[in-house]
Amino acid sequence: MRKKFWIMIVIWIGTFMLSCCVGRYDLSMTDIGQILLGWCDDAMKCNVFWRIRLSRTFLVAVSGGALALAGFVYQSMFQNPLVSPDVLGVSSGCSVGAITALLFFGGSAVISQALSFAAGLAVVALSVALAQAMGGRKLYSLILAGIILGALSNAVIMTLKYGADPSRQLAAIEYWLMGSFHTANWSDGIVAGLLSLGAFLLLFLLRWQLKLLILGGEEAFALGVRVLPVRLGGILGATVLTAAVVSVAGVVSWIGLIVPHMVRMIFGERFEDNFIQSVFCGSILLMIADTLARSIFTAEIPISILTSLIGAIFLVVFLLTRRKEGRWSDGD
Amino acid sequence: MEIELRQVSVFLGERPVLAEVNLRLLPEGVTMLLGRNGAGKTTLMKTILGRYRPKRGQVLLDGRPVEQWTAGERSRRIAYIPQEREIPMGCTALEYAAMGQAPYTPFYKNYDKIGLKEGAAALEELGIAALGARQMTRLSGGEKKLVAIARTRVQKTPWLILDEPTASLDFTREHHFLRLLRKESQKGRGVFLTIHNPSLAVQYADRILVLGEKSILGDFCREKDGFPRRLEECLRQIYGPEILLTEQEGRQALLWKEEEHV
Repeated sequence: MRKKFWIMIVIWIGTFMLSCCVGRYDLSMTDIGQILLGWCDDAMKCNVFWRIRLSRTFLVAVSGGALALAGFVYQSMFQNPLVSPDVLGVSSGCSVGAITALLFFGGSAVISQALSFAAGLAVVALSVALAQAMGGRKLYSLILAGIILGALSNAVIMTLKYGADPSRQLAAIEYWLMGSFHTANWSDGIVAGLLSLGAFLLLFLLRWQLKLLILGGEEAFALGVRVLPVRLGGILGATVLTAAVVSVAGVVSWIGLIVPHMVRMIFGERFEDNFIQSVFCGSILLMIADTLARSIFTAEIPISILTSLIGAIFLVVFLLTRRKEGRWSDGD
Repeated sequence: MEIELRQVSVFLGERPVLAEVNLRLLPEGVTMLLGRNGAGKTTLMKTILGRYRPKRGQVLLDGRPVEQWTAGERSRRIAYIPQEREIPMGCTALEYAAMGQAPYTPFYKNYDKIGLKEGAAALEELGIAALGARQMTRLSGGEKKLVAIARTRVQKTPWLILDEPTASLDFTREHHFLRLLRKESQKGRGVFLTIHNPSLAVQYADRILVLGEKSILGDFCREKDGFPRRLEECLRQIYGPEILLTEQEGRQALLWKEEEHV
């Protein structure tokens, strides 16, 4: 287990370096070594590394970890392996905010990000409020409320798209909905990084309580867990993680859904370990996807094309191995 | 710790489930609660735990209202094993038993540090150390029940409350499990459980409560005179006149006897 973990760290560092090297203007490992040591006198190379490549790689690394952790937390909280970070409608909410900014505020990056983040949080807050109002078995009502709010947000998105100028705005909206890190800069990276760090710390402190919650509300309650505050804390943390990413990069699909499964498959199931492993594994996967997105074709392609493709392939492999192990039939 | 319900009425939504229930439970012996499906047995247990708030009346633990106890204080005194249990993904039997240490640990700290040691000891005592490394999802119904008991031992509570613990067990395991609960009570823990089979109640309970329409219909102690006869009378009221008490080799059992065979 330890060994696998350190291998993963090494892969993470390797992917990070590779992601810094690859792009329209290629840098070699030697270049990067020289830049880091301050020996590089090629101003162009220095600029590309510090201003473009490093900031982007940093943002991608944070985003991958954030999405994967959000997915992991939601999956364990809902005891449902099919849940993704969008279960309570956060991505749709973020999209509404970003598209509104694009159409009515001229697409200023700061306004777009702020509005997107706020809208994402607002939709989740509404989901939670709706679930509380519906009562019943809380977890099911939460999922239902998420579906309802997600549908409403999508209705708003479609309306906005319908009213958008098809030659300019519509393309920008579609592009945003497929996600991309091509506009990444340091201010994005720092904002997303700090938000993610805050949410991570919250979830990290709550991780033992979240682990107890996998028993379900009844038993966790009997073991002294304050079920409602812990659930709300978990939702808040996972939502901020997702909204921080989606508001700067657009919709990045599948990472939150598949990474927790990958981690459980590679390392075995153990809550507190999977918690950290998801962060690194998600980070690695998104860095690979982003590196591919800007290198396989001359023009950069949206990231969700690749994450969806990787996700679909992984899911097939995962289901086939599960069937071989005979785990499909016993209902877990 | 003494559990007391005073004039407790509980509503689930608009529906009254319990009406003016009065009950005192002392932490000694095995107390079993009988009642028809939907009579409110589970509701009664969840009310004692403070999971449901009574609309009227009070639940007192050692004379103090249950809502005044903190989650930690309460969970160090009452262990609860619910009936519909979610089978946790990603958790071995040993980790599951270790969770009993959680009430003694601050929320941000790892309860496993002590919990795993105590959990392993508890599994050992119950003779199921070999299950420790297995995933909870892979255990049989009976094995899960034993691991749950191990967890309550780690939890070290004076009270053990179980909701229909024998529901998924086979014939012999029912008996083994109830004998185990008797042992727990001999160690000085109060054991309170719901059960559907009145014969098992007659055989293993020190005290039997019968829940009728929204309130306690009968309260029988083993030592008192006419224990099984009065119970038979009471059970006829809720299950029907077909209930019959029989005795074989000094053991009593309740049968269902209809006038004609079908």
